[in-house]
Amino acid sequence: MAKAGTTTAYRPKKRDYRQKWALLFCLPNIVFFLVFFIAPAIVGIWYSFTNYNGLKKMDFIGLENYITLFQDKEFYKILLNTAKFALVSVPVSYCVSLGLGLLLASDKMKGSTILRILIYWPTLLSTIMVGLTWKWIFGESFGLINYLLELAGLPKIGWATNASAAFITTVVAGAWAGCGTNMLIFIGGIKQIPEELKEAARIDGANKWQIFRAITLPHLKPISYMVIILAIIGAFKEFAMVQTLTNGGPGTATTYMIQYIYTTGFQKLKVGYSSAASMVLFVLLLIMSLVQSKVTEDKD
Amino acid sequence: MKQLKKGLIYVVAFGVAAIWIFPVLWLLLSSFKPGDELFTYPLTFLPKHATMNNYAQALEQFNFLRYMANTAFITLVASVITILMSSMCGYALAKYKYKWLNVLFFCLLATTMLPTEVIMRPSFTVLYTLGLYDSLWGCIIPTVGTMTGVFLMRQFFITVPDELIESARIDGANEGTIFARIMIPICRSQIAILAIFSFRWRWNDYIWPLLALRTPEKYTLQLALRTLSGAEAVNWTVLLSSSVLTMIPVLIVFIIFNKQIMNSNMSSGVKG
Amino acid sequence: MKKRWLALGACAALTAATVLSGCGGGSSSTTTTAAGGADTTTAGGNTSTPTETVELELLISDDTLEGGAMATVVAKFNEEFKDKGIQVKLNEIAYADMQTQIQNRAAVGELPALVKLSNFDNYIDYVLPLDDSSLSQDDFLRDGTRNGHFYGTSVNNTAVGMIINKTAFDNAGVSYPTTEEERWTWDEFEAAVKEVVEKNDNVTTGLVIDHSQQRIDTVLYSFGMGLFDPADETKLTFKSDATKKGLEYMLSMYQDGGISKASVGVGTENAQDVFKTGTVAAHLAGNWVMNDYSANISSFEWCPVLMPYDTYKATSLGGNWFYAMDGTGVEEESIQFLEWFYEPENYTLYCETGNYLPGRKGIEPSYTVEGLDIFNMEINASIDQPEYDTSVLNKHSGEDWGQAVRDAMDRAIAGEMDADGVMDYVVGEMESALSGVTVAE
Repeated sequence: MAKAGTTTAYRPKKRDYRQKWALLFCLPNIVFFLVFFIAPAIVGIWYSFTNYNGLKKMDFIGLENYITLFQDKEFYKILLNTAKFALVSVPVSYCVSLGLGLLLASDKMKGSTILRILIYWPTLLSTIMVGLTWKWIFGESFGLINYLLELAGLPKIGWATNASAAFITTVVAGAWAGCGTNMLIFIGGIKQIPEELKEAARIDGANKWQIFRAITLPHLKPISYMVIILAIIGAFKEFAMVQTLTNGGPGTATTYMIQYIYTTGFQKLKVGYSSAASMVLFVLLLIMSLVQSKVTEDKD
Repeated sequence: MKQLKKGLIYVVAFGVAAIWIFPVLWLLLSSFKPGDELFTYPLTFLPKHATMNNYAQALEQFNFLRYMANTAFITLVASVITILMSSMCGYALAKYKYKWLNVLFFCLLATTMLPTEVIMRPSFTVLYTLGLYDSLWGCIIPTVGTMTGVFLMRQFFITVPDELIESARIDGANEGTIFARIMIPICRSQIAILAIFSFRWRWNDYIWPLLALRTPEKYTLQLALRTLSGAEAVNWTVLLSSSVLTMIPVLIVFIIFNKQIMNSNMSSGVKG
Repeated sequence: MKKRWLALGACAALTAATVLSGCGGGSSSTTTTAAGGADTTTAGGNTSTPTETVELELLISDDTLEGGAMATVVAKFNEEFKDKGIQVKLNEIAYADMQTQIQNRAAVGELPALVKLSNFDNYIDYVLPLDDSSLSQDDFLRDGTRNGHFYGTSVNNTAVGMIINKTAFDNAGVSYPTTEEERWTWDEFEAAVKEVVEKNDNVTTGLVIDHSQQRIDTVLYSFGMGLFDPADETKLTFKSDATKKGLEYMLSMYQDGGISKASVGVGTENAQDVFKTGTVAAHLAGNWVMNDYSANISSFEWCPVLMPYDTYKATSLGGNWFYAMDGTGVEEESIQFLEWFYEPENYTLYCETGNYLPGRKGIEPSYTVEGLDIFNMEINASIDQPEYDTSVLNKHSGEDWGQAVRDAMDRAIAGEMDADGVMDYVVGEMESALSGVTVAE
């Protein structure tokens, strides 16, 4: 908190001058925020109180959408599914991408460029491509893994029909398709750690693990905060990839929030209902982010 | 001993990469398979009768150059603006301490929390009102204020020591100069990372092109690719080959900017 | 380092500039021939100046995927009308994007002149009635009339049907029906595919059914299911003993020892892809897969056969509508194109290029793939209930009950509900989505 102290120590005039600069730096984003988020979001909130069908019908129906939503047993089940997915996939993707980042941050390592390209590559695929590729591997009828199992005389795995197996495919494919991004972010963070610090620690006789614990990890705190918060939001908004991969099945075992919103609302021309569900999701995510920031701040 | 350890790291690294890349390799090889080899049992890794036909068909079916030019224009312009805006805003959020900046941060974070579908319709109205409909700018302007970019730059700038700014202030530099002359060069490699991301986001985006465009001559690669998945069937062969073609520019950009990441190191900044 | 950034920036600017200039040229040339309502002066009565060409925009999806039939016919039109002041320009977009594009363009009054799509009821407020044209409802197989006005022409029909792995059937020495007399009952069909699976080492599954409400409904119709009471279109009859029997039969296919495959039934694996592997005896699909199978299956022979029946013989019709939009300023020319399009010569060309089942009566195309007449036999043999249900649902424009039957089947195959649960779920969804309907007692 020493940083804040230094700024407030200046005379008010100086402060105003700096505040003006801060405002100037943020101005494009503030304008953008108002025009492309607040304006549409207000309309979205309005939709959630109507029976809008995306066409011409739009009558105010008060809280009816919200009441229906909170009375829908499936909504809670899907919420639980989504939380479970986030709980597993966020740590997995955090650890894997941090590991990859540490492994590939060093420029001295030969071939790190090629490796980075290879790891980053999957993030370029469209969801339909991810879906196709993983069906070649996890496919129940003609996938590679089941073929190998069959050759080995083992029973095939019901990737599509077994709820746990389907859940695993969504986590693995999700991590695969997304970790390249976080890996790069971690590399960026690691690059910012002054080499001198590590050098000094090394001279003091610290081993690699100690350096990681004492220097690398603390320095990566701001980056980790971002990666985790975005990963949580991402997990709660996962849709297209899972839909092509498992179609939310078997049954509703891997149906997550956005797919619920999409199939119960948009697909049935119930834009009002979808908007209400989206607002609930929005509030949930906002609370989670605020809590997470609070926790991170308190630790500082 | 040290040699052995180093060798082990290489084995692990390339092992991970091999598993990681296996599906992509499969995809790549499959783009050379004729349609009747894509779904066989057992599947084959290598094409039995490799063919360039899929690529020829993709190039013939689409006005690839036109779409590529449109997409490149959108991507380049949007990325430049995105990097500028994100760096400025991220810097302000990281290095100035005012209450309203905290509020702004959460406001911006909130933009990532609504499903796109909910605000698609009102967003279209905004876009139309601004006169951006059926113009490539309609795929640029609404995308430049990305929270992920701001967030990324904010977190990077946080780790830059405050002393750098303080000493520059004592030397009489104004805030703009500090940002442009000191902070931007220090975060070169981080900006390169944002550039890589931004390029990918825009290159692969189809939501805004879908909302903003209606004239075939202005369509982007992703819009064109989507026509290959129909109501009842998917043209897998052409989809595979054109997806591979579409990825090439993004990979080239990655390689260019990766050099930036490699050649930079924080220590040089602190010394200066 | 600075130099490199400068170079990059310069590169970006340069590319931007070239592309910009390119776009500028492109957009200016399109505005002069725009089809939208803005250019009413050129589009209106000014036909006296033949140099002014009206450009009709035709919004379409799937055309290239299905063989480019519309593109072929449009090219013919543009050639014939080169000097007559009308040209048609195809605007092909993804099927998934059609709804968004039409809704948005309707909202801002920039609709295309013509649309080919599987649905027009949702946009009926913007569709041009064809009452004054030479086209008439009587010439078309499907009902495109709403509220007494003729809006949509059924441009091509699709019918649900069965495709079998002919090689596997021949290997096993099992016969298959291509005439009405030979048609299987579901029990006979089950015995037949079981024998095929048994006698072919590489065939492991008897039947795959598309993950589609229409295909599931088709099976249920053959057991006597109906969505609406034929005597009263406000009464829901889905919940019935016949439906239950059909559902239970279908669910038994997905259980251990059943003829089908749960991974396909719940929609994770695509039936079309799985059939292509050659490990499946039969695929309940429709005539639209014929082009794909002709191009992408070479390891075995296949052919369409007649579908099994229980109480009734039933198929579900689907297909696309071709219609003109209102308020575009080029309505007259749009109708002129539609009239030309449905002239037997041009329309036959369309059906033959795309291997489409004609939606207009009295057209007999000769196809490039064999076996399409099986689907016409299905259409002729089918009961009326599927078309009746479709017509009732059409009246609920702007209301959509989604894919409730399919979604409920997903859950039932996964063991989350039974046949009764499926019926309750479907009826519940229908009641909440469609106004004024109630469950029949």
